[in-house]
Amino acid sequence: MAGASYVLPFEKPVVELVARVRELRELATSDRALEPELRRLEDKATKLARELFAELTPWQKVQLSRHPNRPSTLDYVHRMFEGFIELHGDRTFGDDAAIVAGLARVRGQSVAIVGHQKGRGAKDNVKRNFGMPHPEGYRKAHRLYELASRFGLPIVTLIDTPAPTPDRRRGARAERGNRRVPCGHVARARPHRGHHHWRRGQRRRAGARSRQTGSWSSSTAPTA
Amino acid sequence: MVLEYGTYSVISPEGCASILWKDGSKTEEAAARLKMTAPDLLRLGVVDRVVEEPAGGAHQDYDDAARKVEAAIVEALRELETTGGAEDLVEDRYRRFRSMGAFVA
Repeated sequence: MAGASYVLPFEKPVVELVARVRELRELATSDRALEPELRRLEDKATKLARELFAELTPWQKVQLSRHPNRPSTLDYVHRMFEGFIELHGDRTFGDDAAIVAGLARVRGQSVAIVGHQKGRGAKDNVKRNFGMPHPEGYRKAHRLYELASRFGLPIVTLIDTPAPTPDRRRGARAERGNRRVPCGHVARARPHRGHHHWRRGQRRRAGARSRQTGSWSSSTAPTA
Repeated sequence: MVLEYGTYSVISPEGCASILWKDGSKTEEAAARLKMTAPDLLRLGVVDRVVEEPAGGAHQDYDDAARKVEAAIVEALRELETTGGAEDLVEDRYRRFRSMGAFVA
């Protein structure tokens, strides 16, 4: 799926299995008689794939969670929500492409969405900073939370980040924002368990190190 | 909620191994010790649900992955509607964070 294939050594047998099933499915569209047989093979392959992956070590799961082909926030947003309107900028410093935020509907219900966005490929990843936000990204998130709270909207957050950016310039950007943004705001909804990291990121001062941030997570998306 | 093959931790296994043991080759051990996989997070109460991924992981089938996540989110939103007001939610959140990391060894 999705562009250049990148296969981790341990996922090879499962990838081949999944590819085989996909081929069969294409064959079956031209011949309805194959349908029941296909169903059976599909079930079998899925079960086998699950068994193989049940044996994964924690480190292998970490590698899987960092898989370059893994869907990121926008991949989910465009499939799950209707009428997504992306909102940019933190009203203070600038826009951070590592965080995507906006309003949309899911089954008729309006929601605010905030999520990390990783890039696909080198160029896109430079733009998205590998899903590692700067202070303005956290302020954008904060702005959306406030907006949601004003309109009583639930917040859906998709967490998919290696960490906040460990950038020296970050300090100045954080200072600049802190004069304007009140901390400790609590949104109405109960989005996820990793909320502390944007608040901390926002409070962080010059010289702080990335390891002092509250959380490290990769492809924990989606948390809601 | 966390995806089946998602991870969540205060630090990367690489960072943990090099800081704690000054040995980058202990990354695998660090990954295990950090209890950062979805089943670990569920057991420790860091998340309250693990969302199943398509066979082979979310990257094998974006559409199916999105369907599964959507179903979980819709369910959570419905649950949210029946929960009390904002104060209850905040209280609930507070208690959840306070209880994290506190467990009997």
